[in-house]
Amino acid sequence: MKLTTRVTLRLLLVLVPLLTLWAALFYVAMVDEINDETDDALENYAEWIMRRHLVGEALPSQGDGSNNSYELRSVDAAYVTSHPHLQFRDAEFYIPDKKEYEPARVLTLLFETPDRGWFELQVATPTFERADLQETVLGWIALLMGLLLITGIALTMWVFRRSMTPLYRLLGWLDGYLPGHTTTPVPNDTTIVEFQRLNEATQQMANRAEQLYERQKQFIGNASHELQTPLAVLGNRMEWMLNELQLNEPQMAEVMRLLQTQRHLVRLNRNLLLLTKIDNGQFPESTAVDVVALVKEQREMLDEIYEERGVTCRLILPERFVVQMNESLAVVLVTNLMRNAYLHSADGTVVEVLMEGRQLIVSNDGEQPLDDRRIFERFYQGSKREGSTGLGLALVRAVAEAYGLRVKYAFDEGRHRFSVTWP
Amino acid sequence: MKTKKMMMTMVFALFGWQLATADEARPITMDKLPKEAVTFIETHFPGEKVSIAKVDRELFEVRYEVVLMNGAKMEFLGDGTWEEVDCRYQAVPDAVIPPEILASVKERYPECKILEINRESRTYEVKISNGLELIYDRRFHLIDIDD
Repeated sequence: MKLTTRVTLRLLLVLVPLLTLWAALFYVAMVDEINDETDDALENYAEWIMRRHLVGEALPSQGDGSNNSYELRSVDAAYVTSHPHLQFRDAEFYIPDKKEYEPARVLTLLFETPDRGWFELQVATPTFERADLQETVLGWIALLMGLLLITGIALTMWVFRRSMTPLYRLLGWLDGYLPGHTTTPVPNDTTIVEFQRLNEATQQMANRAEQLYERQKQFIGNASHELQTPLAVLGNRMEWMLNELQLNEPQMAEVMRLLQTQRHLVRLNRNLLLLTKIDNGQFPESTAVDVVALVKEQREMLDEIYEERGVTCRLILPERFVVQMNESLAVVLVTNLMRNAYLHSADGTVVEVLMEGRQLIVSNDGEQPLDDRRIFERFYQGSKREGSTGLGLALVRAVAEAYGLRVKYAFDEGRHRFSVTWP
Repeated sequence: MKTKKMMMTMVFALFGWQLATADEARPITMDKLPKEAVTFIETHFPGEKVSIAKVDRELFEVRYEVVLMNGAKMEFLGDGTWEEVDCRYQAVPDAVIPPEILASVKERYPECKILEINRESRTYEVKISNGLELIYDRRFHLIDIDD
């Protein structure tokens, strides 16, 4: 869940009940006030009639255009003691203006006159006006609350997003970050202190990673370079032993095995050096290379090497496929892909090399899928094989990265499929 | 958290109380009126009987309203001081009106009677029989005339 979504949801969770409660309380208060005002108006009307009656002035005629109406009658002492002197109630009341009974608010008032004894005054006002008013108030409250909620949330989201811009810029930078390749510095044009610190910390980390990466690359390069000569010398000495010393049979076999290990070591070292050189971009010159011709050439060589294991090869290729590449690197790419397939094939199976559009696919039989996230890492080997350095696919990826090619591994219908796509 | 809870409770209590007490007026008998109000009525309207007396309890104030049998109506605050005397069918007794205002009205409108006097927080409002409303400040200077 995105941060803005989370914040918005949380705000809604708090604000909706709070605002609803607030609106409800406000509505109740308003209704109460409306009722209160109705009662007050009714009371004033009753008082006016009562006072006119007390001083003997003419009472208003019924149906004077106001919806109010009244009834005045004389009552005896017994009625006075048994009835409340002032009472509001809701009742059906005859409204002369409408000539019908209407739901009304009725005030009953008992008062004493100096000479004519007690009177009961009933005044009434229809409640439809009050109901109308309450409805209007309810509508407005709902509308305003909704509006308040929407504007509040929208404003919060807007402010939040704006304030978080530096974070999203940093995340964008991190998405594109690759140790050893990224040269753009961490964007840091914010005035927000927290984000400044975060950006600075990220830049420091990136710098450190860059340094370590560089140092490691140099170390591997130097080490394999320095190892070359002693390894060659070692090989020469052993060959000399074979040729010049009069060794018996078991001794000779032992030296041969030593020589084999030395050759593996030499190849390992050469590949490491090659990898470093590719990573360092030390193969700048490029020419037109025919990938199809390269595949055919490699196939002949590999067929010969793996003849005794009965691994055969099927080629489905166009006439030619020419790309602009460094020739050595093209060879590294094709050789390692194909050698990998031959090497990891069971005896008597078929390696297939297929060219589909701008995609080269090399596939061989397999029992279960490999870890497609680690398969191109150095020295990652699903199953150890004699003659495998564990660097072949790492070299393939290094070359692909140098030219912006896409390498992919997939396990499909019992076959490992390695594909390289030229853009 | 605790203070928040307490504040919420207080708000609700206040609100509930407001709802419960913002009630309609209730009738009362003469003896429930503040003593000052009773004295006021007995002094200025001797012999007049009460037709109806009411008490109105609002959020922050109590108000009493009395209508006499001669049609005069008056309002008292909770402590019994008068706030309004309305004698629209006779005239307000002279003794009720502050002497400065009485003199001022007599001088300007000698033929008019004073029908009603209201004591507001900063002013006195006086209604006279020609339909005008005179407004005096606390030091009894005439500051406005409404018709």
